Amino acid sequence: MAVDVASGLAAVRLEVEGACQALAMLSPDALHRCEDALQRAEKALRDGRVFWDWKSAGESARMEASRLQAAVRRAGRLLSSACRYHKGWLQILGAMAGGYTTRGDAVPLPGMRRISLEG
Amino acid sequence: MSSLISSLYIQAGALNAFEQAIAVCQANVANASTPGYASQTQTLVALPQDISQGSIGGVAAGEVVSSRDQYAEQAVRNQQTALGGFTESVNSLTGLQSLFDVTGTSGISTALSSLYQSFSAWGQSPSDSTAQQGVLTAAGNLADAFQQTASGLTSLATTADQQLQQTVNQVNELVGQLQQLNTLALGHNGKDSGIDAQINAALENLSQYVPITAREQPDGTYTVMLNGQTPLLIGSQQFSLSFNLYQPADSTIQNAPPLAQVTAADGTDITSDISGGQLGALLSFRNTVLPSYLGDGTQAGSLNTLAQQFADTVNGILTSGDITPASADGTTPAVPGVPLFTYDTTNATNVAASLAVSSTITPGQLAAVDPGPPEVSNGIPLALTQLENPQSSADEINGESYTAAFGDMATQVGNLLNQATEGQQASQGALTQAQNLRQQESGVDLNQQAAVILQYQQAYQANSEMLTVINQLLLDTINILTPST
Repeated sequence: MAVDVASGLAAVRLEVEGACQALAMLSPDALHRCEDALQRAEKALRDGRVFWDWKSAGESARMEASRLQAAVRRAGRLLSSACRYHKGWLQILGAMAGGYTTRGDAVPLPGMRRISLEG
Repeated sequence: MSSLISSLYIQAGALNAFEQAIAVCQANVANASTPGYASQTQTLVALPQDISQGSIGGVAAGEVVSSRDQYAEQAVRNQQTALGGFTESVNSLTGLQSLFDVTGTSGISTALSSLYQSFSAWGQSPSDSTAQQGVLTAAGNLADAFQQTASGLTSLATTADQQLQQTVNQVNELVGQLQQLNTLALGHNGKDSGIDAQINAALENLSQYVPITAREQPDGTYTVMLNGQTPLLIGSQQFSLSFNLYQPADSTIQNAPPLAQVTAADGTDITSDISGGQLGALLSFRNTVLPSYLGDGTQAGSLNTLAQQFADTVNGILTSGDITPASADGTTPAVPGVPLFTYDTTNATNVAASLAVSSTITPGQLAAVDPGPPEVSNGIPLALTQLENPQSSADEINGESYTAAFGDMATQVGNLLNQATEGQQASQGALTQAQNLRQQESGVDLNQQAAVILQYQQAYQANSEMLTVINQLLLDTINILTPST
C-alpha cells in the first residue's frame, strides 16, 4: 500500500528535527548522529518518489512540505552557526600558533594528519 | 635537625597550598548554578630548592586560573542578541497581524466586500432609498474600518516608542551595573571570580537588548562596545544611550508620524548601527515596518495610499454621474453627483485615519445615472461594482484590485511573522549550541581543541553536502505538489 505523502514528509521532518537537536548538542558523537539522521532523511525523500501516493496528495502534503522546508532551513542555520564558530576558533588557534600574514589574516593551521580508530 | 624542620616547613606549605586548592574546588561546586560563573583551577608552583641559599623547596599555591573562554562567551552573547531580536519581532508582529485579518467578519477586507455588495444592490434598484442607504452605511463601515486600522497602527507605534524608551533605560541600567562591577573588579585586581561571574551574567543579560562586544582588560575590568563601534563602558566610565523621536531632514510630508532615534552619549545618531537584539528589532518595527503602512516624512504608507486611491476612484465615478439627468428639451439642467468620501487632504499620512463619509451627503444624492452617451440609468453603480474586478488600470492599485492590495498587506505581515517565528526557533537552537560549546570547551587544552575542530570540520562538510541534496529533493517535491496555474 502506497504511503500518504503528508505522512512520508512528516517522517522526513522528524529525521531533520533530530538532526537539528544533534546540531544544538554539538559534539563529535552528535555530529555523527546528525549525519545518520540526514542520510535517512535523504533516502526517505528519494524513495518517496516511487513509493508515496502522489495522486491523492493535497493541502496537508503542501503544508507538511512547508514545515519540512522550515526544519531544513533551521538545520542549515545551526550548521552554519557551528561552522562559523569553529572557523573563528581555527583563526584564533592559527594566529596563536603562527601569527598573522602580511595581509593581516591569521596564519592557517597546518593540515594535521591523524588516524581515528573506533571500535 | 635542620632537615627535619625544613621537611616540616615543606609539609606545612604543601598543606596550605592544597587547602587553597580545596577551597577553589568547593567554590566551583557551590557556584555550579551561579549565572555567569566559570570554574576556577588552583595552580601549584614548585618552590626553588637550594639549601645553600636557604631555599628549602616544596610547593606553594599559584595563580587561580579561570576556565572562562572569551571567544565562547562572545559566541553565546551573539546568539542571545539574535534570539532577543527575533523574540521581540514575533511579539511586535503578532500585534500587527491582528490588524490585518482577512478571514474574520470585521476589518477592511470584510467592509470592502460589503460595500461592493451594496453597490451591486443599488445597481439593481437605482432609485430605491433602502439600497441607497445601504451604500451609505457600507461606505461608513469601510471608513470606520480604515480609521480603526490606522488607529491600531498608531497605537502600536506609541507602544513601540514606550518599549524603546524602556529598553534604552534597561540598557543604561545594565551598563550602570557593569560600571559598578568594573570598579569592584579594579579593587580586587580582577582576581575575584564572584565579581567576574556577575559581570558575565550582566553582559549576557545586556546582549539580549543590544549587540555588544565585551573585552576583558588586563586589570580585570570589561570594555563594552555596542556593535563593536560605540563605547558603552570603558573602565569606570559609562556612556549612556538616549532615545527620542524626530523628523528626518529629507521629510517632504508635513505633520507626518516621526521616526525613532537612538543616540550615543556624544549625540551621534547610532540608530542604523543597532541591527540586532530587542532594541534593534523594535527600531526596525518602529522605523521600517510601521511606516510602510502608516507613512512617515517621506512616504504616505500603503494603508493611506489604498484609502486615498479608493476614495478618489469612488468619488470620481460618482461625480462623473448625475443625480437627475437633464430634461430632454434641455430646459432643466442635470444635477451632478457629489463625492461620497472625505479625508484630510493636507496630510498624506493621515488619509486612512481621517477617511469618512461626507457629512452632507444624503441617500438621494447618490448619482446613479451615467450621462453617457448613451445615458444609462444605473451606469454609476455598475461601474462601482466593477471595481471589485477591475477592467482597467485606472481602477487598480499597483496593478491589482483594492481587495487584493489589502490582501497583499496582510500577506506581507504574515510572511514577516513567519520569518521571525522561524528565526526565533533557529536562534533558540543556536543559543543552546553556543552554550554547549562554551561548556565543552572550558578548560580544554588548545592542542586537544585543534584536533576536535578538525574532526568537526570534516563532519560539517559531509552534513552540509547532505543538507544541500535534501533541500534540492524537497524543492522538487514542492514543485510536484504545487498545482500548475
